[in-house]
Amino acid sequence: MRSTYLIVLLTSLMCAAKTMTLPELLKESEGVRKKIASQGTLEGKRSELKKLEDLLQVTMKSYEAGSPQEGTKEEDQVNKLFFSLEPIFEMTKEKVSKVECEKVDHRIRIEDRDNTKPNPNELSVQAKEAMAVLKLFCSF
Amino acid sequence: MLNSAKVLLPLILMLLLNLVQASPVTASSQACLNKASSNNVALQTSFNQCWEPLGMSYLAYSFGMGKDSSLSHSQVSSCYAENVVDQKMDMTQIASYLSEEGSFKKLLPENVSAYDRDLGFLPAIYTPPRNKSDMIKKECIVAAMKRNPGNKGYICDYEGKSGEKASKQIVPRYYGQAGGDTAQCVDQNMTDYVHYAVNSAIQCLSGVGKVDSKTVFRKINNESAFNISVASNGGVGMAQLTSIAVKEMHDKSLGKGRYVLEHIANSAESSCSGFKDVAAQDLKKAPSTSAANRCMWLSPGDGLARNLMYSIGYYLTMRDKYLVPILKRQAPNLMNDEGLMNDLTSIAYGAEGINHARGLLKKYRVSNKTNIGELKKKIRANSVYLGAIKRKMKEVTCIRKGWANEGKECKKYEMEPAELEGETCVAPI
Repeated sequence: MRSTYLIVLLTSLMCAAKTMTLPELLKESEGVRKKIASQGTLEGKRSELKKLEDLLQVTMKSYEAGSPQEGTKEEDQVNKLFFSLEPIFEMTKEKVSKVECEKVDHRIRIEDRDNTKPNPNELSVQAKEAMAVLKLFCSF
Repeated sequence: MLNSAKVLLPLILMLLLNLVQASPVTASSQACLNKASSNNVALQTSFNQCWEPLGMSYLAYSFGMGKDSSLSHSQVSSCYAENVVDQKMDMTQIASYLSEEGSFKKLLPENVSAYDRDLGFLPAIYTPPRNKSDMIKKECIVAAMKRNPGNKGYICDYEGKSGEKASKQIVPRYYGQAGGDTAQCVDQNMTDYVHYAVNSAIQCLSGVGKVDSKTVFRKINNESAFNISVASNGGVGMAQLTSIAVKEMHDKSLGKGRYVLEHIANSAESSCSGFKDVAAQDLKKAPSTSAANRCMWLSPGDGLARNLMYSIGYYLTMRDKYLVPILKRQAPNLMNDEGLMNDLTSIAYGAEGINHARGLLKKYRVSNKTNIGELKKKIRANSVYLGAIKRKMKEVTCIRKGWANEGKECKKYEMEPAELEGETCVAPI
């Protein structure tokens, strides 16, 4: 009986996550940034960032479950937020240093490059958010 | 190596000068192949000033093959005095071709009869068979250069007088839009040289990884119509390189593309002779991408060499260092499909970038079980960049057929898949 409740609860959570769009996730990310900023230790910051990574993973899985054949435009936007943040997720699991921070900064920029935009030098909203998160880990 | 180059250089130059004196042709005698006014010769003039190592390797090749050159005695002297010696160009391989009659031809593969023995460029000889790349046909480069490239046009002049008294500094000078009334005359010398330069770059970089010549053709045709002189806010030169792509290629700690420059700088491949000095120079000091230094990317010698080397190197880096690891994780079987890899690389290397290519793989739930044919159709339908490539490949196709792009025949014509893919513009060597 308990396991049934658990499945229902998890499914509900998945469905709730599915509804999260890019603007909503950006708001979540902003909240996470505030929490990261208030953390005094790297470990504390990592832990807060992990919550954002988990949220994005669950959201992406929900999109896939909801539309198994082909992703929607909303999903594309969310995926790009994950792609932009992914180098930070990876770095914080390994080593945070000035050199690594510069590498991640460059990687976010090169992977975000899109010359079809009116101003190709301007970062996307997803990459801008990633840069804001990166800054919190890279203020030496 | 350097010492032998110093010893051989005067010999080579003497040979070149003798040949030039024997058949002098003036630079301005050639007709415009495009629709430019024959008075718009600023680019031609700048083009014929001095070509640095890439140009000199072209000259050596041309003379070795018994071709005429439009360069005058004083122009070659100027190149010798101002550039070749200063840049310590390694011409030992070229010298070996010229020192023994027919030795150059011995280096060519046996099966080149379809193109005669004069391919128009130096083929790779040490490249492993799996990496051998096709050549881009001359007629396609000519057709592309007849297109209107758009963007702003710049020429790179030597400050002061040209010829023997020219100073070494080259400065960019705006000549207007590279189209319409200000379009610059494109002549046969220019198309011959561009054909040599682009194919030499492909052959040289094949030593790093297999270069898909169709993708390179489609990309450069789309970016600049093979015009060496264009620049925009987003990019510079023939391949419209961006500053971030340049950083990716040369920055030791940040980018992943430095291995390409290292390979070129150390290559013994004859097709790399026009590129290796520039690569070695850039490995020591990062090239500037500022507007004031545009000629580092636009000049017909080092500028073109740098532009091609970084652009094709960036293509290899995007494919092998970014896309391949993603596909290895997600759907390794798909890496074997050349067409799919080319499309994804075009998106990553072209305008839309890596995240768009990666997003498409996620959007279409790509796995090892994915139907590749269907996937390719969807990817093409979802890429603005691949759409732009299609329009410009149609222009090339119509020009090759002798039709005006705005004419009825062209508008009605439905391109064959091979024309769209660029298959009709490449050939094995």
